Amino acid sequence: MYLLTPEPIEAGRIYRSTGAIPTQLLRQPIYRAWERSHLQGANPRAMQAEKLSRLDLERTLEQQKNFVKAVRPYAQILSQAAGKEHHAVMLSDGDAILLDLLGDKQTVDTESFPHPGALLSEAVAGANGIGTTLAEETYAEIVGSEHFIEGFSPFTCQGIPLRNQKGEILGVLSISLQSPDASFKLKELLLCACAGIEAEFILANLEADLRQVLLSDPDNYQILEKLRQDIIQAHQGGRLRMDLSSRMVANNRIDYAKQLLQQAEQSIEIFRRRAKFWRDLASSEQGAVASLSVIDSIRNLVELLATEASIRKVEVIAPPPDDPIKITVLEKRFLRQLLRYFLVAFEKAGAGGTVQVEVTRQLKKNLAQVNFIIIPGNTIFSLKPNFYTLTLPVQ
Amino acid sequence: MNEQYISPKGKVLIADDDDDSRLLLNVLLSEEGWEVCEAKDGKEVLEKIDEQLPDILILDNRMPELSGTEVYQFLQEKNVDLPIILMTAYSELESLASSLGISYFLNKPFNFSDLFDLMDLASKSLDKRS
Repeated sequence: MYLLTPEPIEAGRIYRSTGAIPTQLLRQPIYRAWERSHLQGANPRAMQAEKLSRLDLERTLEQQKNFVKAVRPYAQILSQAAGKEHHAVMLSDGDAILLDLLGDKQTVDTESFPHPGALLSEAVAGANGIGTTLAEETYAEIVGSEHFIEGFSPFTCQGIPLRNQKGEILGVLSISLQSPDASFKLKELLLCACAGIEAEFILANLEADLRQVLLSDPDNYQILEKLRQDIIQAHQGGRLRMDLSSRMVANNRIDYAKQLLQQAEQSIEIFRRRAKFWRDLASSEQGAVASLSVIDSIRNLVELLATEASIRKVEVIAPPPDDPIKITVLEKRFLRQLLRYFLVAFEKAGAGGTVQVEVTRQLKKNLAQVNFIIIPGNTIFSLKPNFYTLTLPVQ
Repeated sequence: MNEQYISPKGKVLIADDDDDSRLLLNVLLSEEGWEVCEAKDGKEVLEKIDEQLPDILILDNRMPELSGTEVYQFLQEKNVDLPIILMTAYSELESLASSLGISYFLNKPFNFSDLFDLMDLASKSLDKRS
């Protein structure tokens, strides 16, 4: 059970009457947040959040509409997890401007509660779930009277920064609840939601890459589009698990909820890995010269091609993961070459056929050979297996 | 202790070659009071429709044997009156749906609430027609 301690209340009373921040009464991150708030001139007695003008808000929302859209489903999942608790789920941009708000009517429909356009940086609103998260650039939790502004003290707030693939903070996802215990139950879901949202940004990049493929490499568009659909499956699995977990949290089935979240994180990780691999295949660049494990590359590609092979009814036998033959190649060019070999092999094998991939090393010549052994299926008239070989320099 | 029997909302057939996807949808739909049956590929969908007489079909697009759109077209040709929700991650989803006359489709990834909303709409349209 979460215990509310009287120290922050006393710290607030001392600060408001003397202007001094008593360090011994506050957790370190909160002391730092109060100090920043004080130095930047935040008013602890402010009754309402300051906000953007209507025009500025409209402009901001228009600029951020894709960001809001990507985050919304996860905000809904968090709101669902809160169940009957009074709560608000908030999304801000990187300047702590509130962009989106979800929650129960009693909480979010009050005039004093921040609405889209509200400014929630520490400079304006003091230590809070959004401003402090941005200032610290990491997960932050503000419990009750740890808020700098008294008006926020009924709530326990948690915030997590949302980053793009370059690591730049795009905004903060935050959840505020009146019950600290309820807030505690939602922490892991919030962290998982962050991973899910960052996977959405990767998804958007895949769509952009696909449009580029249509322009620069139309011959490969169809297969890459199919593979893109296949890798989204892992992301979908992660999202559904998170959704199911949130329903379990709302029904107080916490152990099952945690199990689902662990699985969701694994699915998201699988999606990230496959997305990176797909982006290398879709890229029109040669890629840097890299040291790669041939067998890992083949096994990754076999994994990516699993649905395609199943639809074509081709059995694929990948080499076992034991021999780490390393090659030095232009990475992206090599992966695209490997993909082409697989697709030709699938065509030659036909429905009911088998493609077996073996990797052998030619020690004297310092070369590795990737052998595609194709056993045609019933529909292909051929008496013997076909062989294709890709020869590569060993590192 | 007497357990009260609550009759199911209806029967839903989940057609998806991905085991994980079928499992998650099955768990949630069962919790929501639906009777659930499953199919792993396009051919099995057609068999299960005949055997199980579902009220709604949730259909993945990329499947072995027959794709979701191929199943859809087959059922249209046979005038099978069954609400169908197509799930896909295809980038040109809206134009695909429009060209085939598919009313109910879900772009992956989606939340369960998106699916339930569509199932509600699909069920209501079937009630109106009957």
